[in-house]
Amino acid sequence: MALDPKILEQLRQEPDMPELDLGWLGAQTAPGMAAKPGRRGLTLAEINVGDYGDAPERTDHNTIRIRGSVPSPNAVRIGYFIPNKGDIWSDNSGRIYEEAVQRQWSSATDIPWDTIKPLPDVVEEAICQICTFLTEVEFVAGDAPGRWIGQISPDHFETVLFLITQVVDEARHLDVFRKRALANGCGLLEAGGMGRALRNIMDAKDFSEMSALMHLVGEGFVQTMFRTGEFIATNEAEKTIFQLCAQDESRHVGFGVMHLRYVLEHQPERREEFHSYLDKAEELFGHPTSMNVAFQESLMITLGGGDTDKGLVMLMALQKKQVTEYLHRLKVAGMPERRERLHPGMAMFL
Amino acid sequence: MPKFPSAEWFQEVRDVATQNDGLRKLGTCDAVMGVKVGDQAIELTFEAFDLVNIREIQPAELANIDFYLDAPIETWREMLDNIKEHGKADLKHTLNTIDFLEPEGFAKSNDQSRKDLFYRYLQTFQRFFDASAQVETDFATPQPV
Repeated sequence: MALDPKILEQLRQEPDMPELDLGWLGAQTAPGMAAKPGRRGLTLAEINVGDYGDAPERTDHNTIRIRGSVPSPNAVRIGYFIPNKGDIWSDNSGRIYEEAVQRQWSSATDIPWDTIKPLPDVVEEAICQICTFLTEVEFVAGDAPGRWIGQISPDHFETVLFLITQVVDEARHLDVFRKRALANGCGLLEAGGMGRALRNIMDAKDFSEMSALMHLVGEGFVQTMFRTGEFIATNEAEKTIFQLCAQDESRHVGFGVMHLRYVLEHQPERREEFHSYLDKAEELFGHPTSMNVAFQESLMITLGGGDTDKGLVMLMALQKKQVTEYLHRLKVAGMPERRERLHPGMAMFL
Repeated sequence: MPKFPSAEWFQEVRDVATQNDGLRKLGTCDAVMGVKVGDQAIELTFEAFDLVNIREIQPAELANIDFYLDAPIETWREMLDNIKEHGKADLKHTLNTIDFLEPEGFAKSNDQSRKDLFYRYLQTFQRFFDASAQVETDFATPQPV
């Protein structure tokens, strides 16, 4: 939109005002932009047009300049961002972000807490043990992506927005399982001590490594666990908790699958690197230092409705489903060969 | 009274489910879901906040869509009867619980990533089927084997 030169001149010569620079006027890189809402409203997809939509393959400015704005000669650097788009990108992050914002829920008011009734002690304690485990897992699942947010360039802001929703999701998961544990007379039980599998995620030195370990392995397995949670629920409150958490977790898994696919398509030389990350994760599956006996026994009790033999069979079925779905996701992402390299400790569940 | 499964039945359920922005309140849902009952198949296209297309398809076409729900008519009937009786699925008859209990799963797909859409929008799909509580349903008689 052009400004009338007469008005500009008038502004510059206003006697009681300091002389204005106004150099920023008319600096826009894509004048005439007029994004229109689509069926989903005015989403990131609708405004990602022209230069605004082109996330650069590489970014080196290290300032807070957000994609599409005009460089300022006075800008200071605020850190070193990960420069390569391929290292942090996923083509679905904008859509998942919008979806996450729309599908937020409150553990305080969206869970029918009044449906929780007294349960037999062993069942209540088993549920509380599961909740204890999940609060720890969700703590790490929020902490890990949080560590990477500050390292992603504003030119690649979609990934940042997605990660922020993940942190919020995991915070809610932590609090909802804590609330369930404290809602019916038992409370939190034995801590797992943050097994090596969780430690692995925290130790990741590369974003893609973190994503592989957390989104594909950890959250993939937890998503299956949440879906199973709907089966072990003893009331509407627990059912709602697990259903909503499974939805959230599926978005995180979706990001991980698409990130891996993007990396393999744009940086095919990294394939073996990914295998090494997965090797590290898989060898811990079932390893003594990763075992959480209290969690597994509590699952057996709840799955079997008190019959631990039946519960063991169902737990094995759950683990088979976790491994099968993990391999299917890797196949979709472009790593079908992973099935042949699967660690024996994990392959035994197939 | 529409027969289950048929495009007419799903259209009636859609009309109930979308009343008062029923699906919009849950957030966007973008997935193509199939329903398979015996040798009948229906394709349901969810887009943004609505079920925008319903059509009867050949079972072979299910391979091309995101995922489909597949169970014997007896399972479908038990679920829909339960929804009718309680106004919504009880603890043992939600889509996800049936998915857990069916040996081969209720939701099926050749692509795990597309199948994950079932879990990602679970609340929307559950709300959709729960709306069938307000629809009179005529069940097709299973063909003798």
